Amino acid sequence: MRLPTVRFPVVGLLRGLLLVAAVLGVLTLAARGISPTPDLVLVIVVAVALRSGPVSGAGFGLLAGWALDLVPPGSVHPGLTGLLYAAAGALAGRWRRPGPVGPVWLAFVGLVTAVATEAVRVVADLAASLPVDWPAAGARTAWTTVVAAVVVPVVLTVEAGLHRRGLA
Amino acid sequence: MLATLLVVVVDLGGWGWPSRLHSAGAAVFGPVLRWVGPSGDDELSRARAANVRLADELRQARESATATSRLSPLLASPDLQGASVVAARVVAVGSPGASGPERVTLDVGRRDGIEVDQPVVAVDGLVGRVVDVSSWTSDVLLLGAADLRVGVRSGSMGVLGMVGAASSGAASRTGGELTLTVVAGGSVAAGDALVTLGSPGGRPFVAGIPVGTVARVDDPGGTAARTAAVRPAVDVTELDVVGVLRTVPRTTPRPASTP
Repeated sequence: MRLPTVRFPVVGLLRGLLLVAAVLGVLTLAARGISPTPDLVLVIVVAVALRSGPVSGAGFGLLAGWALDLVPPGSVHPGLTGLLYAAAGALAGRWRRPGPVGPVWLAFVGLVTAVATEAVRVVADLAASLPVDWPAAGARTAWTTVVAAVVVPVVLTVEAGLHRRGLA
Repeated sequence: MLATLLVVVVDLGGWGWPSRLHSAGAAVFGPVLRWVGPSGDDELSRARAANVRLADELRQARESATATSRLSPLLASPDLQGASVVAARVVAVGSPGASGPERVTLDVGRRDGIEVDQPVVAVDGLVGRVVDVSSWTSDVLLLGAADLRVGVRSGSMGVLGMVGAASSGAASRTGGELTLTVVAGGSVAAGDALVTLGSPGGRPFVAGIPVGTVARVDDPGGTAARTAAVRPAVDVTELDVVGVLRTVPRTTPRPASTP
Protein backbone atom coordinates (compact mmCIF):
# COMPACT_ATOMS: atom_id res chain seq x y z
CA MET A 1 0.00 0.00 0.00
CA ARG A 2 1.40 3.36 -1.01
CA LEU A 3 0.93 6.28 1.37
CA PRO A 4 -0.10 9.62 -0.15
CA THR A 5 2.65 12.23 -0.36
CA VAL A 6 2.18 15.14 2.04
CA ARG A 7 3.63 18.39 0.66
CA PHE A 8 4.49 20.89 3.31
CA PRO A 9 3.77 24.45 2.13
CA VAL A 10 7.28 25.77 2.69
CA VAL A 11 6.69 28.87 0.55
CA GLY A 12 3.62 29.77 2.59
CA LEU A 13 5.60 29.32 5.79
CA LEU A 14 8.42 31.46 4.41
CA ARG A 15 6.01 34.24 3.48
CA GLY A 16 4.40 34.08 6.91
CA LEU A 17 7.75 34.35 8.66
CA LEU A 18 8.83 37.23 6.42
CA LEU A 19 5.57 39.04 7.17
CA VAL A 20 5.95 38.60 10.93
CA ALA A 21 9.56 39.81 10.77
CA ALA A 22 8.57 42.81 8.63
CA VAL A 23 5.67 43.84 10.89
CA LEU A 24 7.76 43.59 14.05
CA GLY A 25 10.60 45.41 12.30
CA VAL A 26 8.42 48.31 11.15
CA LEU A 27 6.85 48.74 14.61
CA THR A 28 9.99 48.40 16.73
CA LEU A 29 12.67 50.10 14.61
CA ALA A 30 11.09 53.51 15.15
CA ALA A 31 10.88 52.79 18.90
CA ARG A 32 14.65 52.22 18.79
CA GLY A 33 15.18 55.71 17.37
CA ILE A 34 15.60 54.68 13.72
CA SER A 35 13.60 57.14 11.66
CA PRO A 36 12.37 57.30 8.97
CA THR A 37 12.03 53.54 8.66
CA PRO A 38 11.56 51.79 5.32
CA ASP A 39 8.16 50.17 4.78
CA LEU A 40 9.36 46.58 5.18
CA VAL A 41 5.83 45.20 4.99
CA LEU A 42 5.29 46.81 1.59
CA VAL A 43 8.57 45.29 0.37
CA ILE A 44 7.34 41.78 1.23
CA VAL A 45 3.97 42.48 -0.40
CA VAL A 46 5.76 43.59 -3.59
CA ALA A 47 7.89 40.43 -3.59
CA VAL A 48 4.87 38.14 -3.20
CA ALA A 49 2.93 40.05 -5.86
CA LEU A 50 5.78 39.87 -8.37
CA ARG A 51 6.05 36.14 -7.75
CA SER A 52 2.35 35.20 -7.71
CA GLY A 53 0.49 37.92 -9.62
CA PRO A 54 -2.07 40.61 -8.81
CA VAL A 55 -4.75 38.44 -7.19
CA SER A 56 -2.39 36.72 -4.76
CA GLY A 57 -0.60 40.04 -4.26
CA ALA A 58 -3.86 41.72 -3.29
CA GLY A 59 -4.76 38.88 -0.92
CA PHE A 60 -1.35 38.92 0.75
CA GLY A 61 -1.43 42.72 0.90
CA LEU A 62 -4.82 42.59 2.63
CA LEU A 63 -3.45 40.13 5.20
CA ALA A 64 -0.30 42.23 5.74
CA GLY A 65 -2.30 45.43 6.16
CA TRP A 66 -4.60 43.77 8.69
CA ALA A 67 -1.50 42.68 10.62
CA LEU A 68 -0.40 46.32 10.86
CA ASP A 69 -3.95 47.30 11.82
CA LEU A 70 -4.11 44.80 14.68
CA VAL A 71 -0.61 44.45 16.12
CA PRO A 72 -0.23 47.18 18.79
CA PRO A 73 -0.40 50.11 18.53
CA GLY A 74 -2.48 49.36 15.44
CA SER A 75 -4.14 52.01 13.34
CA VAL A 76 -6.84 54.50 14.28
CA HIS A 77 -9.31 53.00 11.79
CA PRO A 78 -8.90 49.19 11.44
CA GLY A 79 -9.12 47.88 7.90
CA LEU A 80 -7.89 50.93 6.01
CA THR A 81 -4.27 49.76 5.99
CA GLY A 82 -5.47 46.36 4.77
CA LEU A 83 -7.25 47.95 1.83
CA LEU A 84 -4.23 50.17 1.04
CA TYR A 85 -1.80 47.24 0.97
CA ALA A 86 -4.26 45.10 -1.00
CA ALA A 87 -4.28 47.80 -3.68
CA ALA A 88 -0.47 47.97 -3.52
CA GLY A 89 -0.24 44.19 -3.98
CA ALA A 90 -2.60 44.29 -6.95
CA LEU A 91 -0.61 47.16 -8.46
CA ALA A 92 2.76 45.43 -8.06
CA GLY A 93 1.33 42.14 -9.35
CA ARG A 94 0.37 43.76 -12.63
CA TRP A 95 4.10 44.14 -13.40
CA ARG A 96 4.81 40.44 -12.99
CA ARG A 97 6.93 39.14 -15.84
CA PRO A 98 7.46 35.46 -16.76
CA GLY A 99 11.07 34.33 -16.50
CA PRO A 100 14.07 36.11 -15.04
CA VAL A 101 13.87 39.89 -14.58
CA GLY A 102 16.66 42.34 -13.89
CA PRO A 103 17.26 44.24 -10.64
CA VAL A 104 16.49 47.56 -12.34
CA TRP A 105 12.98 46.37 -13.19
CA LEU A 106 12.43 45.16 -9.64
CA ALA A 107 13.65 48.48 -8.25
CA PHE A 108 11.31 50.30 -10.63
CA VAL A 109 8.31 48.27 -9.42
CA GLY A 110 9.34 48.91 -5.82
CA LEU A 111 9.63 52.64 -6.51
CA VAL A 112 6.25 52.90 -8.23
CA THR A 113 4.49 50.93 -5.50
CA ALA A 114 6.16 52.90 -2.70
CA VAL A 115 5.32 56.23 -4.37
CA ALA A 116 1.71 55.18 -4.97
CA THR A 117 1.26 54.02 -1.37
CA GLU A 118 2.80 57.19 0.06
CA ALA A 119 0.71 59.30 -2.34
CA VAL A 120 -2.48 57.78 -0.93
CA ARG A 121 -1.32 58.62 2.61
CA VAL A 122 -0.46 62.19 1.57
CA VAL A 123 -3.82 62.74 -0.14
CA ALA A 124 -5.67 61.29 2.87
CA ASP A 125 -3.84 63.61 5.28
CA LEU A 126 -4.27 66.65 3.04
CA ALA A 127 -7.99 65.88 2.78
CA ALA A 128 -8.13 65.91 6.58
CA SER A 129 -6.20 69.25 6.66
CA LEU A 130 -3.26 67.58 8.43
CA PRO A 131 0.26 68.96 7.91
CA VAL A 132 2.30 66.63 5.69
CA ASP A 133 5.86 65.91 6.78
CA TRP A 134 7.27 66.03 3.24
CA PRO A 135 10.94 65.28 4.10
CA ALA A 136 9.96 62.23 6.18
CA ALA A 137 7.55 61.00 3.48
CA GLY A 138 10.22 61.39 0.81
CA ALA A 139 12.90 59.69 2.88
CA ARG A 140 10.57 56.80 3.73
CA THR A 141 9.75 56.31 0.04
CA ALA A 142 13.43 56.37 -0.92
CA TRP A 143 14.36 53.90 1.83
CA THR A 144 11.54 51.56 0.84
CA THR A 145 12.70 51.62 -2.78
CA VAL A 146 16.30 50.85 -1.83
CA VAL A 147 15.33 48.00 0.49
CA ALA A 148 12.95 46.60 -2.16
CA ALA A 149 15.76 46.64 -4.73
CA VAL A 150 17.88 44.52 -2.38
CA VAL A 151 15.34 42.25 -0.68
CA VAL A 152 12.84 41.47 -3.46
CA PRO A 153 15.42 39.69 -5.75
CA VAL A 154 16.53 37.57 -2.77
CA VAL A 155 12.96 36.54 -1.91
CA LEU A 156 12.15 35.78 -5.56
CA THR A 157 15.32 33.67 -5.93
CA VAL A 158 14.60 31.69 -2.76
CA GLU A 159 10.98 31.09 -3.74
CA ALA A 160 12.02 30.02 -7.26
CA GLY A 161 14.47 27.55 -5.71
CA LEU A 162 11.78 26.13 -3.45
CA HIS A 163 9.45 25.85 -6.45
CA ARG A 164 12.06 23.86 -8.42
CA ARG A 165 12.35 21.45 -5.49
CA GLY A 166 8.60 20.99 -5.43
CA LEU A 167 8.19 22.72 -2.08
CA ALA A 168 5.94 25.51 -3.32
CA MET B 1 -12.05 42.11 0.97
CA LEU B 2 -15.78 42.67 1.42
CA ALA B 3 -15.50 41.91 5.12
CA THR B 4 -12.73 44.51 5.40
CA LEU B 5 -14.87 47.08 3.61
CA LEU B 6 -17.70 46.30 6.01
CA VAL B 7 -15.41 46.80 9.03
CA VAL B 8 -14.17 50.13 7.63
CA VAL B 9 -17.71 51.37 6.96
CA VAL B 10 -18.89 50.32 10.43
CA ASP B 11 -15.87 51.97 12.06
CA LEU B 12 -16.15 55.23 10.13
CA GLY B 13 -19.89 55.19 10.81
CA GLY B 14 -19.11 55.39 14.52
CA TRP B 15 -20.67 52.12 15.70
CA GLY B 16 -17.46 51.44 17.54
CA TRP B 17 -17.11 47.68 17.77
CA PRO B 18 -14.15 47.48 15.32
CA SER B 19 -12.05 49.29 17.94
CA ARG B 20 -12.40 46.15 20.09
CA LEU B 21 -10.16 44.48 17.51
CA HIS B 22 -7.33 46.56 19.00
CA SER B 23 -7.91 44.97 22.39
CA ALA B 24 -7.77 41.50 20.87
CA GLY B 25 -4.58 42.38 18.98
CA ALA B 26 -3.00 43.84 22.11
CA ALA B 27 -3.83 40.76 24.17
CA VAL B 28 -2.16 38.48 21.61
CA PHE B 29 0.78 40.57 20.42
CA GLY B 30 1.45 42.83 23.42
CA PRO B 31 3.76 40.36 25.23
CA VAL B 32 5.66 39.80 21.96
CA LEU B 33 6.31 43.52 21.57
CA ARG B 34 7.48 43.81 25.18
CA TRP B 35 9.97 41.06 24.38
CA VAL B 36 11.08 42.35 20.97
CA GLY B 37 10.98 46.08 21.74
CA PRO B 38 13.79 48.05 23.39
CA SER B 39 14.35 47.06 27.01
CA GLY B 40 14.48 49.62 29.80
CA ASP B 41 16.93 47.88 32.11
CA ASP B 42 20.03 49.94 31.33
CA GLU B 43 21.30 52.85 33.38
CA LEU B 44 20.37 55.44 30.76
CA SER B 45 16.74 54.29 30.74
CA ARG B 46 16.54 54.41 34.53
CA ALA B 47 17.96 57.94 34.48
CA ARG B 48 15.42 59.01 31.86
CA ALA B 49 12.58 57.50 33.87
CA ALA B 50 13.76 59.41 36.93
CA ASN B 51 13.85 62.58 34.82
CA VAL B 52 10.22 62.09 33.81
CA ARG B 53 9.17 61.64 37.44
CA LEU B 54 11.13 64.70 38.58
CA ALA B 55 9.76 66.83 35.73
CA ASP B 56 6.22 65.87 36.69
CA GLU B 57 6.85 66.63 40.37
CA LEU B 58 8.23 70.03 39.33
CA ARG B 59 5.23 70.67 37.10
CA GLN B 60 2.86 69.74 39.90
CA ALA B 61 4.71 72.03 42.29
CA ARG B 62 4.55 74.91 39.78
CA GLU B 63 0.88 74.28 39.08
CA SER B 64 0.14 74.14 42.76
CA ALA B 65 2.10 77.38 43.30
CA THR B 66 0.25 79.09 40.44
CA ALA B 67 -3.09 77.93 41.75
CA THR B 68 -2.13 79.07 45.19
CA SER B 69 -1.06 82.50 44.04
CA ARG B 70 -4.03 83.04 41.74
CA LEU B 71 -6.88 81.18 43.26
CA SER B 72 -5.94 80.19 46.75
CA PRO B 73 -7.81 79.68 48.93
CA LEU B 74 -10.56 79.15 46.35
CA LEU B 75 -9.00 76.07 44.85
CA ALA B 76 -6.48 74.30 46.97
CA SER B 77 -6.18 71.17 44.83
CA PRO B 78 -7.68 71.09 41.34
CA ASP B 79 -6.99 67.61 39.94
CA LEU B 80 -3.54 66.80 41.13
CA GLN B 81 -4.07 65.36 44.57
CA GLY B 82 -3.26 61.67 44.72
CA ALA B 83 -1.87 61.52 41.16
CA SER B 84 1.22 59.38 40.56
CA VAL B 85 3.52 58.77 37.60
CA VAL B 86 4.28 55.38 36.06
CA ALA B 87 7.44 55.48 33.96
CA ALA B 88 7.08 53.58 30.68
CA ARG B 89 9.09 52.88 27.60
CA VAL B 90 7.84 53.15 24.01
CA VAL B 91 8.16 49.63 22.55
CA ALA B 92 6.35 50.14 19.23
CA VAL B 93 5.49 53.05 16.97
CA GLY B 94 2.50 52.71 14.67
CA SER B 95 2.89 52.69 10.92
CA PRO B 96 3.13 56.42 10.21
CA GLY B 97 0.85 58.44 7.99
CA ALA B 98 2.19 61.27 5.86
CA SER B 99 1.88 63.62 8.82
CA GLY B 100 3.76 61.31 11.21
CA PRO B 101 2.92 58.60 13.72
CA GLU B 102 -0.47 58.69 15.46
CA ARG B 103 -0.15 55.87 18.00
CA VAL B 104 2.58 54.26 20.10
CA THR B 105 2.62 51.27 22.44
CA LEU B 106 4.01 51.47 25.99
CA ASP B 107 5.36 48.55 28.03
CA VAL B 108 2.93 49.14 30.90
CA GLY B 109 -0.64 47.97 31.08
CA ARG B 110 -3.62 47.16 33.27
CA ARG B 111 -1.45 45.28 35.76
CA ASP B 112 0.55 48.49 36.29
CA GLY B 113 -2.57 50.46 37.09
CA ILE B 114 -2.95 51.98 33.63
CA GLU B 115 -6.46 52.84 32.49
CA VAL B 116 -8.01 54.34 29.38
CA ASP B 117 -7.98 58.16 29.19
CA GLN B 118 -5.00 58.68 31.49
CA PRO B 119 -2.64 61.43 30.23
CA VAL B 120 0.87 60.58 29.01
CA VAL B 121 3.72 63.06 29.45
CA ALA B 122 7.44 63.38 28.69
CA VAL B 123 9.99 65.60 30.39
CA ASP B 124 9.11 68.53 28.11
CA GLY B 125 5.33 68.23 28.12
CA LEU B 126 2.23 66.47 26.83
CA VAL B 127 2.57 63.34 24.68
CA GLY B 128 -1.04 62.14 24.37
CA ARG B 129 -3.60 59.99 26.14
CA VAL B 130 -4.11 56.27 26.67
CA VAL B 131 -6.77 54.85 24.35
CA ASP B 132 -6.34 51.06 24.68
CA VAL B 133 -5.06 48.95 27.58
CA SER B 134 -4.18 45.27 27.74
CA SER B 135 -2.66 43.33 30.61
CA TRP B 136 0.93 44.26 29.82
CA THR B 137 0.82 47.05 27.25
CA SER B 138 -1.12 50.21 26.51
CA ASP B 139 -1.66 52.19 23.32
CA VAL B 140 -1.37 55.97 23.27
CA LEU B 141 -3.03 58.39 20.84
CA LEU B 142 -0.38 61.04 20.21
CA LEU B 143 -0.78 64.79 20.20
CA GLY B 144 -0.83 65.51 16.47
CA ALA B 145 -3.21 62.66 15.61
CA ALA B 146 -6.28 63.69 13.66
CA ASP B 147 -8.65 62.55 16.42
CA LEU B 148 -6.99 64.32 19.37
CA ARG B 149 -7.83 67.90 20.39
CA VAL B 150 -6.71 69.47 23.65
CA GLY B 151 -8.14 72.41 25.57
CA VAL B 152 -5.39 74.90 26.44
CA ARG B 153 -4.63 78.15 28.22
CA SER B 154 -2.17 80.50 26.55
CA GLY B 155 -0.01 83.40 27.60
CA SER B 156 -0.07 85.37 30.82
CA MET B 157 -3.74 86.26 30.34
CA GLY B 158 -4.77 82.60 30.22
CA VAL B 159 -6.63 82.91 26.90
CA LEU B 160 -8.57 79.71 26.18
CA GLY B 161 -8.37 77.69 23.00
CA MET B 162 -8.18 74.25 21.40
CA VAL B 163 -5.07 72.65 19.94
CA GLY B 164 -5.23 69.93 17.29
CA ALA B 165 -3.45 68.71 14.19
CA ALA B 166 -5.92 69.88 11.56
CA SER B 167 -5.56 73.39 10.20
CA SER B 168 -8.37 75.39 8.70
CA GLY B 169 -8.58 77.30 5.44
CA ALA B 170 -5.40 78.36 3.71
CA ALA B 171 -3.21 78.35 6.84
CA SER B 172 0.04 76.58 6.02
CA ARG B 173 1.72 74.20 8.43
CA THR B 174 5.03 72.42 8.29
CA GLY B 175 5.35 68.81 9.37
CA GLY B 176 4.78 68.34 13.09
CA GLU B 177 3.14 71.72 13.66
CA LEU B 178 -0.23 71.95 15.41
CA THR B 179 -3.04 74.47 15.14
CA LEU B 180 -4.43 76.60 17.98
CA THR B 181 -7.99 77.86 17.61
CA VAL B 182 -8.60 80.65 20.08
CA VAL B 183 -11.95 81.04 21.78
CA ALA B 184 -13.80 84.06 20.36
CA GLY B 185 -12.53 87.34 21.72
CA GLY B 186 -9.13 86.07 22.78
CA SER B 187 -5.81 86.95 21.23
CA VAL B 188 -2.38 85.33 21.23
CA ALA B 189 1.09 86.31 20.10
CA ALA B 190 4.11 84.42 18.81
CA GLY B 191 6.06 82.98 21.72
CA ASP B 192 3.06 82.45 23.99
CA ALA B 193 3.34 79.20 25.93
CA LEU B 194 0.36 76.83 25.91
CA VAL B 195 -0.57 74.55 28.81
CA THR B 196 -3.43 72.10 29.21
CA LEU B 197 -6.67 73.45 30.54
CA GLY B 198 -7.45 70.25 32.42
CA SER B 199 -10.44 67.92 32.49
CA PRO B 200 -12.85 66.86 35.22
CA GLY B 201 -11.15 64.19 37.29
CA GLY B 202 -7.87 64.79 35.49
CA ARG B 203 -8.89 62.62 32.57
CA PRO B 204 -7.90 62.76 29.82
CA PHE B 205 -5.74 65.73 30.83
CA VAL B 206 -4.71 67.39 34.07
CA ALA B 207 -4.16 71.14 34.12
CA GLY B 208 -0.81 72.78 33.55
CA ILE B 209 1.02 70.34 31.26
CA PRO B 210 3.05 72.20 28.59
CA VAL B 211 1.59 71.60 25.12
CA GLY B 212 3.68 73.88 22.95
CA THR B 213 4.54 77.42 21.94
CA VAL B 214 2.80 79.71 19.46
CA ALA B 215 5.08 79.90 16.42
CA ARG B 216 3.08 82.46 14.41
CA VAL B 217 -0.42 83.84 14.31
CA ASP B 218 -2.41 83.23 11.11
CA ASP B 219 -3.88 86.03 9.05
CA PRO B 220 -7.63 86.01 9.92
CA GLY B 221 -8.54 86.49 6.25
CA GLY B 222 -12.17 87.30 6.96
CA THR B 223 -12.80 84.29 9.19
CA ALA B 224 -14.19 84.76 12.67
CA ALA B 225 -11.90 82.20 14.34
CA ARG B 226 -8.38 83.34 15.25
CA THR B 227 -5.84 80.56 14.68
CA ALA B 228 -2.11 80.14 15.13
CA ALA B 229 0.61 77.64 14.30
CA VAL B 230 1.95 75.83 17.36
CA ARG B 231 5.34 74.21 17.81
CA PRO B 232 4.70 71.21 20.10
CA ALA B 233 6.64 70.91 23.36
CA VAL B 234 7.42 67.25 22.67
CA ASP B 235 8.70 65.76 19.42
CA VAL B 236 6.56 62.62 19.22
CA THR B 237 8.86 61.12 16.60
CA GLU B 238 11.68 60.85 19.15
CA LEU B 239 9.93 59.39 22.18
CA ASP B 240 11.77 57.06 24.51
CA VAL B 241 10.85 57.07 28.20
CA VAL B 242 7.51 58.67 29.07
CA GLY B 243 5.26 58.83 32.13
CA VAL B 244 1.62 57.86 32.50
CA LEU B 245 -0.19 60.04 35.04
CA ARG B 246 -2.40 57.85 37.19
CA THR B 247 -4.94 60.46 38.09
CA VAL B 248 -7.47 59.86 40.82
CA PRO B 249 -10.99 61.21 40.26
CA ARG B 250 -12.01 63.67 42.98
CA THR B 251 -14.31 62.09 45.55
CA THR B 252 -14.68 64.93 48.03
CA PRO B 253 -16.46 68.23 47.56
CA ARG B 254 -14.20 71.18 46.69
CA PRO B 255 -13.99 73.59 49.64
CA ALA B 256 -15.79 76.88 49.16
CA SER B 257 -13.96 80.11 49.89
CA THR B 258 -15.28 83.01 51.85
CA PRO B 259 -14.38 86.65 51.36
